[in-house]
Amino acid sequence: MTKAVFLKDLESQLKSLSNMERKKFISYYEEIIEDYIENGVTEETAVERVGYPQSIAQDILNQENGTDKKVSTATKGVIGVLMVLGFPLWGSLLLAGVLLVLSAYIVIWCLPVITGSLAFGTFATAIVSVCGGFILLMVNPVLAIMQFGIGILCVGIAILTTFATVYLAKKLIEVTKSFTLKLIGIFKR
Amino acid sequence: MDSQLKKGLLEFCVIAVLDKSDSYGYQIIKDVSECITISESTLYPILKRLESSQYLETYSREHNNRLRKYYRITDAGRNYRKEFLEDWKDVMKIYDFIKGENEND
Repeated sequence: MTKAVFLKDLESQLKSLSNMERKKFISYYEEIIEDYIENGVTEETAVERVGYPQSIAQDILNQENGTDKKVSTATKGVIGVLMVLGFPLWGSLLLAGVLLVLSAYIVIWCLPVITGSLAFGTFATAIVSVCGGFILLMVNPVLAIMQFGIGILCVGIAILTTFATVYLAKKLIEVTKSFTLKLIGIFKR
Repeated sequence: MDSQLKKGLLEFCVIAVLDKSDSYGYQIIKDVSECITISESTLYPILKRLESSQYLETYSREHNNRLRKYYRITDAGRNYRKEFLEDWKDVMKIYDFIKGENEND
């Protein structure tokens, strides 16, 4: 690995650090590698001696997380003040975003509601048709048979739409869950 | 050696090296390594901590067309080392006590 590759790799691993901290760290390693080379070691060996960018970055990130909490509470205060002052702006934007998401949920949840009410409606029709068919049997057998037929058809539609409802609801619960978690993930960052 | 203990001792090794003369990353590692192993990634946080505690200060000097960062010990740093040596007199007493119990080892 060349010095340039090493430093670039290290830099990309330390993205979570502040610009200044990262630069300090990079120049520290650059200097040491150059000193190694100056003392008669090849570039390759110099980089090898210093170690792997991944583990170096991991070490420094662990240490930074342990020591820099004081600074972060101070900046948190500043961010808090800015949040309050900026509420008229970000508050309305947030509200618009929340309502947009809510309407998206309502639109997609319309599908199982439609199939669900279809199932309920056809099931009710089926019961009425079959029960009514018995009464009609005494008055007009031909009409009664037709009524039975309609009842059976409705039972079929009710069963199919129930399956569709259950399936859609399951899918949408998954979609809603993962989408909500993603949204929460964005805000956590 | 216990890693926490080693970390603490390394800090004073670095101070001791700088007490002799100003130095830079590579040289500090070389000098400290004579006594105790130290890697580049261990030295960096030590230097950073010592600097933020104002036990040492830094300055840059040109060397072979590039800048090299030098570290210089402060008076606070010298006192810090003295305090350490005083404290460790007690530790040495305890060491002798512990050793005395098992003289045959």
